[in-house]
Amino acid sequence: MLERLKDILSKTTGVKVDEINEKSDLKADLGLSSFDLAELACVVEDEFDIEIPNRAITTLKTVGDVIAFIEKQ
Amino acid sequence: MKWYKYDFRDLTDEEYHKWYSLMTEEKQQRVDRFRFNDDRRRTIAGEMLTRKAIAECCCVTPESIVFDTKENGKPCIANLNVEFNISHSGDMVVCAVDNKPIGIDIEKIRPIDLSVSYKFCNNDELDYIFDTTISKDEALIRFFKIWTYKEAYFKFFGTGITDFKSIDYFNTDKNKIMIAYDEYIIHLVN
Repeated sequence: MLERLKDILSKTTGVKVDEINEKSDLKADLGLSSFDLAELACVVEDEFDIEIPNRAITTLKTVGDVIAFIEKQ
Repeated sequence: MKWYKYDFRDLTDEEYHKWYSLMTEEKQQRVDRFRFNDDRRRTIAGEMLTRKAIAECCCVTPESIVFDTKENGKPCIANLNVEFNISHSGDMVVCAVDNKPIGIDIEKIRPIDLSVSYKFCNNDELDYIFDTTISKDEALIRFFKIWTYKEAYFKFFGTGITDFKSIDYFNTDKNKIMIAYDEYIIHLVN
């Protein structure tokens, strides 16, 4: 799962896959804006067949948070 | 209400260091944490623009402004009775200043997958975006009009983004001002 997510994030941000890990901060390390996060939520929903409520999007701060959210679903 | 804009590419090294040194330790740590230089410069340009904008509106010096945070987490000024809000996108940073709460959002109009609209827009807004009589470019503009309005609305309250679909672009209980600037859409809500 982490590898799939890293692949998505790498394509979105241009950051190399091997430079992304669970501790990577979505804004500080990957440079995502609030709109980028909204777009990412849509991609993750499609890729992992889950639903991320709008109010949950802003609670996702790190790659690990996204993984934890997907696992909970 | 007044609003200000700044292209962060104009920030000189001298300005970078000056405004960085005036930031709180917490903000400096946030700047230091950024991987990308553009994110650091954008944040420092935001500090400069905000200080200069408030200084002009309140007839004080930019250096005398003390930032604080309200109970709900919305940034405020400790030593002045003034409200402000800031946003950035692409190369631009914008700041709105008023004597009552205000929200501002800017987005650069760029190609996106418009299917994201289904997650964030209600039926009336979707009809507006996916109007079959308009071009793809116009549909993008319409999406970003709606998105910036909703973001500015949430920022007005300072509560963070909750339910996008419940905020209706066509039926608002707030004042909304839309500005089209170059390749950007800006919305102010007060």
